[in-house]
Amino acid sequence: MLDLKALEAKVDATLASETPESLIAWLDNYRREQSLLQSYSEKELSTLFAAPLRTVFAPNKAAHYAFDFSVIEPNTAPSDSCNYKIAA
Amino acid sequence: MENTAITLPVTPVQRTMYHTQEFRGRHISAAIPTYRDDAWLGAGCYFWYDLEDAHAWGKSSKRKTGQYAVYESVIAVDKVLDTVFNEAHYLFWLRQIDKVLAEYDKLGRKPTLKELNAYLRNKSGLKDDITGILFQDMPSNASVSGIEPIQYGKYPNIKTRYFVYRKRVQLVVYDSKIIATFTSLTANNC
Repeated sequence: MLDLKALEAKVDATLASETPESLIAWLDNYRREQSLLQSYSEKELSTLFAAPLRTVFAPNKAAHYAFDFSVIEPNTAPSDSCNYKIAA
Repeated sequence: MENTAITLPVTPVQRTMYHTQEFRGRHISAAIPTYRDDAWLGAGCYFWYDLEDAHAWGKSSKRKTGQYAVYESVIAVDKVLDTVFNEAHYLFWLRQIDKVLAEYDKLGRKPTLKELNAYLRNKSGLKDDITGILFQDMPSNASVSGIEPIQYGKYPNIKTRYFVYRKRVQLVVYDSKIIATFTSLTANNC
């Protein structure tokens, strides 16, 4: 069971300590990482991700992903853009 | 008088869901995570709730080898955020997304849904608690609707619009340890 109250408290605490600069910096950094990720071919990724993703992209940070990306293949998720609110 | 009270189902602790991949001559033994830029909720293993959608995805988007394979998994969902069937989870999800979005709005920036989710997972530390997210949209292919489109407007300018009544539900798994089983079902031509 998820403790939603505790999870919400985590989010609120994070946002409370956020500054405009830190928020923008986080987003820019995330986009840079994602852009780098997309620049590799499938073959290159297969080689790179023989090590956990965090050791490739974020050696000095807490782990970004729980996975050991030992096998990577594109084209797994829908290409549709998606609204996070359920349409009435 | 007959008791017509509706009993809502208890949140399940596991679900059977479906994973689609290209078929490259032999079946894979584990789900493959995606890193695709347009993956709704970021890097993770994506599963379909409905077998029909797993096949539709194979036919439309797993065409490189001319064949696709569908796999069935039993997945532990006790720590999955269920934004589709669990109202409390859905409202929690909306609140968190809207809060982060509001912060970015103040700065004149617009993050994507994937970026908002990454913020919640990585910056707020929810990745340690939430092992996956059950999520939905509507099938984009109107032909799967099985019903006639709605017609509206005045003759001769009658317009039609499909309303797809069935949700297309997906699960993104962030922690592969919750995938209890992984079984090949079929390999089909696209």
